[in-house]
Amino acid sequence: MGRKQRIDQFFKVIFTVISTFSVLALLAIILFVFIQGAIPFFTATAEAVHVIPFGISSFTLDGDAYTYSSLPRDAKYVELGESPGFHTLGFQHQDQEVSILLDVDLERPLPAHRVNVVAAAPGVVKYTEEYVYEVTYPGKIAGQIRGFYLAIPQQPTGFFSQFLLDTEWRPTYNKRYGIFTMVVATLFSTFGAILVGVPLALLTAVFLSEFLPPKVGGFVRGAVDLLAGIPSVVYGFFGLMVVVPLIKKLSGAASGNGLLAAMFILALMMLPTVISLAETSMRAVPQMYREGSLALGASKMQTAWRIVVPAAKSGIFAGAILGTSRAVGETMAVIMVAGNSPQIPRVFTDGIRTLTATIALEMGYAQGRHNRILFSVGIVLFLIILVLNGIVLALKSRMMEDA
Amino acid sequence: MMRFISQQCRDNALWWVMALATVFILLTLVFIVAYVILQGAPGLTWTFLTSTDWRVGVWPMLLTTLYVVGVSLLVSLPIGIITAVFLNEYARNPKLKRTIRLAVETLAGIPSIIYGLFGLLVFCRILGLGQSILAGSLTLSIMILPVVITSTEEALKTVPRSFREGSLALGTTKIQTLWNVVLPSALPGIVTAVILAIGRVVGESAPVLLTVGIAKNVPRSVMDSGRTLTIHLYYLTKEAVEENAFQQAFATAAILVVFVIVLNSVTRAITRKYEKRIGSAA
Repeated sequence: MGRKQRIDQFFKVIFTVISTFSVLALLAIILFVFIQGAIPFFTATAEAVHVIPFGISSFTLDGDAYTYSSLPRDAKYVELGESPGFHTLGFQHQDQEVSILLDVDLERPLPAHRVNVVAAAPGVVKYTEEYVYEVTYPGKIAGQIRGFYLAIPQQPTGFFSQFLLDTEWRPTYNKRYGIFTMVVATLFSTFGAILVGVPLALLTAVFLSEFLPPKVGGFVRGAVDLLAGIPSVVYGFFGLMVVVPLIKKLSGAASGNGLLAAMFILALMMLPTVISLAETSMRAVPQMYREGSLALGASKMQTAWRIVVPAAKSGIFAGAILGTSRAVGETMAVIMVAGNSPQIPRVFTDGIRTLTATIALEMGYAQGRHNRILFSVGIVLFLIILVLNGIVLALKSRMMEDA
Repeated sequence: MMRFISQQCRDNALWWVMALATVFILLTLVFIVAYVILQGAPGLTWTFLTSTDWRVGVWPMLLTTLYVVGVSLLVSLPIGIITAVFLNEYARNPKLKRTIRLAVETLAGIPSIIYGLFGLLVFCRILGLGQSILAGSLTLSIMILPVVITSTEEALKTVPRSFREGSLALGTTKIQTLWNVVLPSALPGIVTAVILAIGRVVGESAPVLLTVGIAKNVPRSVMDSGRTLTIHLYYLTKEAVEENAFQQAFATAAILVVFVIVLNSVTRAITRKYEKRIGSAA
């Protein structure tokens, strides 16, 4: 007897421990993504200006000699002092000693003014980007650039001013990380998908639950299940091959990739979710309700729309919102049909780029802050989804109470 | 009388609108499936399926997909089934139960790209697995956990109480009852859970792109980067370097669609058989 209880106790403990895995996984996902995505808003990329030699094996900085190979392996740069002032960079160029005088002051408001080249031979300093100066001495051979990159530290990004409400997304050139256009694109495409998808789904769900005979209903339900199972890339591929050319032909626009195509594909993809939740909750409406309504002389149609639909409204809303969060989170299908240019769409055929598309498209090559900012984009997406999920959970508990 | 007629007219009109909506959805589905399969069928040759050269065939992608499915199920199934068993058979503490359920539901709602970010950060970078089949599978195994847990729980709920009571009355331990009586009775439901999970993994693309990568070679081990069928389809349309890229894309899409249809039919068959059995038992 004692042994039996011990065995059961043993398994209970093990099962309890393993079951908490989901909770831990959820916490880990939230924690890691949020921390990584929060870094750009709290820290600067570096303390001081980084001098990165380019095509130069040895140079001097304020009189100290460096050779490229002596630099630490993981940090292929030298830091200029934090204090403002003048620094001299020197290197050999065609047997001549070349020196460049730099004026550094990180307190200056405009990033472009934080590093100035005070004195150098003519025509050798090329300004390229706000956060990177390129100081080059091209040799006689074209394309063989020798010089330095001066990477200026970026201050913490302002969450609203430089991220959420900024309309410029130029991560590699100007280090601008404004995602406003993508938030708008995500909202537009999702909203459009709701406008098309939810009425269509509701009509079908009512038809399925109240009017179709069980055999036909089962067939339609199977079709809806199949629609749910088709991979998103296949939807994207179908959109690319069929919907996009069609939009191009009908609208006469230069390209069919854009908001309209994304809306259509997303509407299609959210259909199964909305239909099955709406239908399930309508079938859960007690038969008495229908009988009562019919006994009072209402038609079958009136019963369906005025009695069953209102009675099942929590479930229908839950389905619509769940479908919405699917649309917000959809990535690959949207990438394939939306055109992906970060802009505020003016007409339906304008290309758009959603939050999810930005992450998937740029994660492959994003470095440094750009990479972390993509996690910040993930946070914004996460917050939208958590709000939507919260609504669904609240509606579900209301459904339980109703039932 | 006039009102009655107009009501009937309105009812009829609405009926037709609903029928049209339903037919539209059915036709769209039929169109997508038929279009992809018909266009892809000519490209579905034996060489296409078995060639290890990525310019010609999809063998590397099939293999990568298979690896990803295998490893993620290997991780996810034990955890998922045990969690479902715990929730349905063991848990007494309502707070703990609610917390786990809430976590599972939230996990189910998180967009796949967020899983991709998490997997990239934790498995690829922090744990140093790099972009590899293992890193991707671990990521996906968390993603399919809600599917496995919810479907298994549904299956466990259909096992009648009397089965458990009968077994326990014979003097078995709880774990013996579980292993010998409850789980076998719930097996069809668990198989359905597995199939659903397989479907999710095979169809998934965004997190796979971030964590498994895009390498086109035959993977030698789970530590290699690879390219699943979905990512291959995406790159075929994106890059379209080869002359027959779109032909290959259609064939790849056809494989995916056929696969989904097969999984779907198997699930339906199992569910139908199972429902019959439960019906006759009751």
